[in-house]
Amino acid sequence: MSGRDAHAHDHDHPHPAGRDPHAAVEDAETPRRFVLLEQAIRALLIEKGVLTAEAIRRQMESTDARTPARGAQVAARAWVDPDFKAWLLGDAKAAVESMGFDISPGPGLAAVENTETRHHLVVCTLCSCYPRKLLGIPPAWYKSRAYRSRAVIDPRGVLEEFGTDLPAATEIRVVDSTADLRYMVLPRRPRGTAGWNEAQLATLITRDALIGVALARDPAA
Amino acid sequence: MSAATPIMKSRIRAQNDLGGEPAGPVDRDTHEPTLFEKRVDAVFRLLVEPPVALFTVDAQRRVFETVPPEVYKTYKYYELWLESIRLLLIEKGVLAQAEIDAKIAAFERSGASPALERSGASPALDRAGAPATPAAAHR
Amino acid sequence: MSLREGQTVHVKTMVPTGHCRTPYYLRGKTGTIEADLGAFLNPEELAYHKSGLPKKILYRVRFDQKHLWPRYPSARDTLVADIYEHWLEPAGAAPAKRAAAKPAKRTAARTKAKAKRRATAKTKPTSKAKRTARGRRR
Repeated sequence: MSGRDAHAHDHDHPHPAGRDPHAAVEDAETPRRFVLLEQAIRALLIEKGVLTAEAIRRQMESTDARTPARGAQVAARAWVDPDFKAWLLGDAKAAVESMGFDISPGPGLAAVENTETRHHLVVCTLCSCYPRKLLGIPPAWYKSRAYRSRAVIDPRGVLEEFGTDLPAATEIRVVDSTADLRYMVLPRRPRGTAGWNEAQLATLITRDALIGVALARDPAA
Repeated sequence: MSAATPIMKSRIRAQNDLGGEPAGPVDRDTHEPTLFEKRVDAVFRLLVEPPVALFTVDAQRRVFETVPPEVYKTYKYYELWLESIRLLLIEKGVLAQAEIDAKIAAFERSGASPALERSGASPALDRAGAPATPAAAHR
Repeated sequence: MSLREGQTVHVKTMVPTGHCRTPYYLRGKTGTIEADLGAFLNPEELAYHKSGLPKKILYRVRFDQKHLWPRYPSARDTLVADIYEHWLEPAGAAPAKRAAAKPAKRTAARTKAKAKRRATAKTKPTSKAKRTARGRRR
């Protein structure tokens, strides 16, 4: 299940509003037999009353609305509000839902905190478990064979590939999502952000930082 | 372990169990999901969640563990998801391969194609949940 | 079976008969319970459209990376994974197979000295005085 060799971005950016320039090219890349199979299955499920066209449309829209920006808002609140942070680390699902993000039904959510002494990196070696209900669809690289194979045995090497260097004294803790919990990282708050409000702080928190392959953006950079 | 047959080996370590395997650099692909991928994702979500709850994510994972190795290695991510949906719907007796084949043949006769799908011009696909216009699809 | 935070556990080296969420790289390894995550429907059953009952307790288990991988460079790094109770056993139990090597109990010099003593030992029992002297020297 290798990722495509498409335009690599060296950092994450928010979902672009309007037309995605990549989509038309990659639609053409999906072999016709899969496109037809998908159409046939969808049409049959609707004919048999298992699903409705409206439900499929609604599901696609709600998935589109789930983006890393939601995770950034959660992390930003944890940075400014110590009680919320404690709640997030103890009962992530309840804390996140209190912000109006519906992440039910589905597996539980846990948040792990990056500190000066410990840096977390999340992976699912067995498949591609990811906090989809909060953050949306995971990036293609997260689902790739190379990431799933190497994140556990060579996390520092993987971090270097993402341009993330950590001091040798930092404990790197890999989190392998093997069961029914999905994990998000609470990144470290960057220096030089004293007095920033939640909305401003959220702009520093990327999807890569919420997975743990990157740090939150440095405002000075 | 050298006497293990291929089937025994797959039981000891399933093909999806990749932690620690040698691998090259991570291809940091972040392509936005295509319409095909979003549809497969949406159909899967609806099939595993209430009220439909026809099968579980665990069943899908089990399918990944047991598809032929060349399927697991060569299919792209959502192509494999689609394959798992097909297999599980057949396993649960909801669809039969014969009717899937018949539907595909009907689409081929009526000219349903990716180009038509993007334009939203096919009425059958419009009813089946395709967004009406390309702008909506790539919102 | 109930495991406590901080308890040392082995991951069993079972061969799964079907669906399984215990990665191969953790089987036979030793870790520490980080947290009891509560009871969940058993995914090994859910995978085959069964009810998943009775529920199984899920534990977050922490491992030292240096223990997991032969040439891991840092003694500080760790890994956590969520493992079901039926894949874990308390460290006191005799494990089916343990991947970690035990440190040598004897130095090479002492081993050589023992071998030499055995080689030069007389076949007949020595006098009591000599046996006592030998005992005092040890």
